[in-house]
Amino acid sequence: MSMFRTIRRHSIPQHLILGFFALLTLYPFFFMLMTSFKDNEQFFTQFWAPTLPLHFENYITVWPSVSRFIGNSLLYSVPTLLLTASLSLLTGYAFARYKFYGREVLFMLMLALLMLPGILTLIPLFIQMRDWKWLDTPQGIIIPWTAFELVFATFIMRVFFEKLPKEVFEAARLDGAGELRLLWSIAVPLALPGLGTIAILNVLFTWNDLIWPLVTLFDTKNYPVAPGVLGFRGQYRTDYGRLFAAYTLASIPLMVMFIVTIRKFIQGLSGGLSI
Amino acid sequence: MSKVKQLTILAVLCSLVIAIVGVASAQDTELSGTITLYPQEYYRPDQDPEGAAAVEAVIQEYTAMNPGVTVELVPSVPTGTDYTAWLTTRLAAGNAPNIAWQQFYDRNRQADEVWVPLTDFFEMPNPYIPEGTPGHDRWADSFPDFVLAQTRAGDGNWYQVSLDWVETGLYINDGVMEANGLDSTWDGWNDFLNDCDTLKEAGIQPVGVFMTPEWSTYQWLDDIFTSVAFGQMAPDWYLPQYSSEFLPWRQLVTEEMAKAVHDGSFNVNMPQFDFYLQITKEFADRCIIEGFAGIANYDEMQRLFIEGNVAMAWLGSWTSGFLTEEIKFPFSVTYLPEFTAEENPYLKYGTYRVGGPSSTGQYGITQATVDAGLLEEAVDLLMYWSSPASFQRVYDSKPDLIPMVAGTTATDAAMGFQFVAGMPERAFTDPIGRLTPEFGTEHNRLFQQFMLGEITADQLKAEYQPILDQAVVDLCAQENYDWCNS
Amino acid sequence: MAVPAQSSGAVAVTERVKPRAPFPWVKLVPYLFILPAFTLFVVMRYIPAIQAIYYSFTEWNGIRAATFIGLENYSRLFQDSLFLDALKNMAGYTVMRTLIVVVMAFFAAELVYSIRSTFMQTFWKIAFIIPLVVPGSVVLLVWAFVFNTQSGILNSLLVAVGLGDLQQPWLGQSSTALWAILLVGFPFISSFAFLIYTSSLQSLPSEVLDAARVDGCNTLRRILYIDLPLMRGPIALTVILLVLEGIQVLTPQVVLTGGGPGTSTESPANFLYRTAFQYGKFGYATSVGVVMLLIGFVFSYFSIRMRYKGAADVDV
Repeated sequence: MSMFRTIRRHSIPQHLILGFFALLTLYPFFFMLMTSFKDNEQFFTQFWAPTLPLHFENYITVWPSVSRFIGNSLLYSVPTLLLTASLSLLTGYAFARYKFYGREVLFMLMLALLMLPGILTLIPLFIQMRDWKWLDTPQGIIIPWTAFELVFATFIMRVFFEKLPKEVFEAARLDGAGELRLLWSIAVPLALPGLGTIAILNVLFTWNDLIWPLVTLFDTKNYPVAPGVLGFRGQYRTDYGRLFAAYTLASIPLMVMFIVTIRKFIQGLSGGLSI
Repeated sequence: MSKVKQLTILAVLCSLVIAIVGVASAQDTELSGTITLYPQEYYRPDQDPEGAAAVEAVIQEYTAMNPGVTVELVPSVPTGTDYTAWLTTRLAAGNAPNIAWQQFYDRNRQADEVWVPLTDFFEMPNPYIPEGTPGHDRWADSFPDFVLAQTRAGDGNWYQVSLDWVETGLYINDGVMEANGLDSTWDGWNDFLNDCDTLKEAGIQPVGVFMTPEWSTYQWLDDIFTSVAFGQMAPDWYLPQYSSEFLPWRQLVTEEMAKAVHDGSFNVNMPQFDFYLQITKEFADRCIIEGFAGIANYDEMQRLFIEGNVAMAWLGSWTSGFLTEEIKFPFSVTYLPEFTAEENPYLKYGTYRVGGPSSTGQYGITQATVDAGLLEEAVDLLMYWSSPASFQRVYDSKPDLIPMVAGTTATDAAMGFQFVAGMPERAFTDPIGRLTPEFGTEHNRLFQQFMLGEITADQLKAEYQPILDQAVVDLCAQENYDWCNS
Repeated sequence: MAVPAQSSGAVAVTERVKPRAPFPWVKLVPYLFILPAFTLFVVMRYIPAIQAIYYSFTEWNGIRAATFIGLENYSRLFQDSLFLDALKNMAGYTVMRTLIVVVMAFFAAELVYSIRSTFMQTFWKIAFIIPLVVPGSVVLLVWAFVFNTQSGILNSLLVAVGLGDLQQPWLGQSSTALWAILLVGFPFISSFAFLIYTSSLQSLPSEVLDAARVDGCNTLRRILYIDLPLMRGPIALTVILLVLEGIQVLTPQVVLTGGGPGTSTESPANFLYRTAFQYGKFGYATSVGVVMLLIGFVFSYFSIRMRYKGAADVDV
């Protein structure tokens, strides 16, 4: 009992420091929420503090278009996530569990893509999409996004599979399980936490990516949230309350997803990620 | 029957008449195809449904008249993202809109590589303009001379119509001025600077202007200061191909500016240049808000004025409606004072008007339209779009802009800036539009450091001449002016 | 490529002949597994990248056909004082930012780790992950107001604690602007690095830690002599990711300073972006991108080599 108490008292400074950091870290989040209830007068005169009355109508005004952007985002993000998850599982598994000729070279070649500035390939990729008639189509967003996100996801999956005890696989193989059986009934169930990590990173990326959907989608009706919400910034005047109401609404699906997957996310990283 | 209804019926009747006239004149050509039109801020269906509905109605009438033509409206790309990136990618891939918005100096730099010269079409009658209204016989008459002068490209062509305009003015917090025994009338430049000192001594930031290497309101100051220092010389640099007897005084176009640099008639060793630097530095030290080089954008500048953090702010006409709604203290709009003859040894005019075509209604036709065989259709649509009857309805949703089409009327908010329109045009346009865009960015950088006191006038001059010369080299490589090799 | 058609047959065969699959087919399995991903990489990443590299040897305005000019872009680039300034800023920014983020994230991870209650540990992790939902541009907007000269929080705070003399136009002068940008996002805990470190700490071998405790090792010594060496891998990983991020830094420039005052916050990515999309010089712009790519390569190569040199934590 006394032991417990000392430990608790012991960790008070930690809690205080972490609490202070959390306040600073959470402030932009709080700012977003607070501003979403303001009208422009309140925004311009009371920038830092919350104000009354709360302007709920900001949400009502932006809801019709933001709900559409969220729908679009789901339409692009979910397939991207499914593709990234399944392909990274397959690829990461191969890199971790098989020894094959050229394995490390291929892996390094893949990691090299992390160093490739996205903006460098913007125009060549765009021309390719045009030639394939993929502009203004969901696949014109989903496939390039997947190719982008797959690199780090595969890396995570490889590290993840390498951490799993080899014995599980050896045993199954001795039992005569085929390669696909091994993958499907042993690797996939064990991979779930790793996939949780990938899911969060993946959706964070696709939810916030601006430039690719902006240049490849002609019709604003098809915009996902990042360029869609930005539309609330006007050339001549911006209604900040509405802009932030849109930001807030757009972040709700992300939060829901975080809450659902966060345990897996943390689990997936357990043992850390390393090179 | 309400007045609104009556007016609506009247409007419909009017447009019918116009439509019939239009059909009568357009019939013989039989236009067909799909035209994409990017009206920029006039078409934001999500954020401004009413304005978008007006645009759609105007377009529907057009397609009713020309059943062979389909018009695809492209909604405005979100502000804050780079429209240039959006357009350039599309141009590179060959699927930009047929009729698109573009900032006039960017457009004139790209010129016929991207845009169709409208010069010949400007000489043709615009069938959508009723008889008796300017433009009916000759499309160009639809636009004021100063608009045509300022939007003409370096090769002498016009690549765009400019349907609306923006002006700028000095917003003054009258309460703060009064509390410090000041008012907003000045007998010359020095009187103004003295007021700045008084404000600063009272702990108040005098004038809100912000400055980044990219577009910023500082550039308006620079337009005035260059015009103040070099105004006398500007007419000597005019080239005959850009001159018009109706416009003895006008803004220098890119080629004239480049030639002046090339000939050495504009260089850093002139006494005028020293004067230009002197007034710039004086203003920076005594008047401009502290931290002016760390203010990121126009909205932040606006906020500082609305919050009462700055006594005066140089802002644009396009936010006058917004400011009128948000500002809770007495304020007025005026203009920077005039330099007197004693204050300016190189006086041409006391001060200059900073306004221009950097607005929403700037439209040109892309070259890809010609390749697609849609030029005739695009020109016809553009004529229709820029006719007073169509444009008035489009314009009514953006009351803070100033319409520049003969036969349209401005709203009250825009009328408030009419006093500015009477002043002489600035001789120099914004640095980013003056020579090349690189020159503009580098100019802004050097002046940022100079105004902050991080480099001296001599250092600035040493670095400034090379960027001037480089800009001329670049322009010559691109435009091949006939004087380039002399 | 006719491989996919063949391969699907191969998979079917391996499945049917369960006990002992014919040897050559099994050897193909890993290649089959990585084939879809690498097809995507080739089509969507490598080919566009090679095209971009080709453009870096040309003069190209994005509209006209590109003309081959050899190494001219590169020789111009290394005489372009603006680009050299941008490189210098990037180097400073990247080194400092990586250092601060790693130290802060590591510090916070150790704090969380030192708390015994698992519930509280999870609580803090979640508290620091949730803010990731706030878009980067909103965070930057908030920071613009922190640094504002007139009504900014930082200056007001200095006045409040009696240090009014230290007030600065933080973003408005060359001497402080890069530092201000560096501090955006303080205390840098809402980051991937923090999560990696907490997870890694929790999986350190408990025998080693127990031994240390028995030896009377204090916390600081434990962190320095046990935690840090054992965490070489995760730290190297986050350092590489942060450096790659630093090399490509663009948003603070776009939102806050435009690269100014003067050239004080200019970055290669901003230089690239402006050169391509505002000046229409795509050839020149892509050569900047290629230089960024090479810097990333060289750095990653050497840091991976360093990470394995005399490493205590690798058993392979």
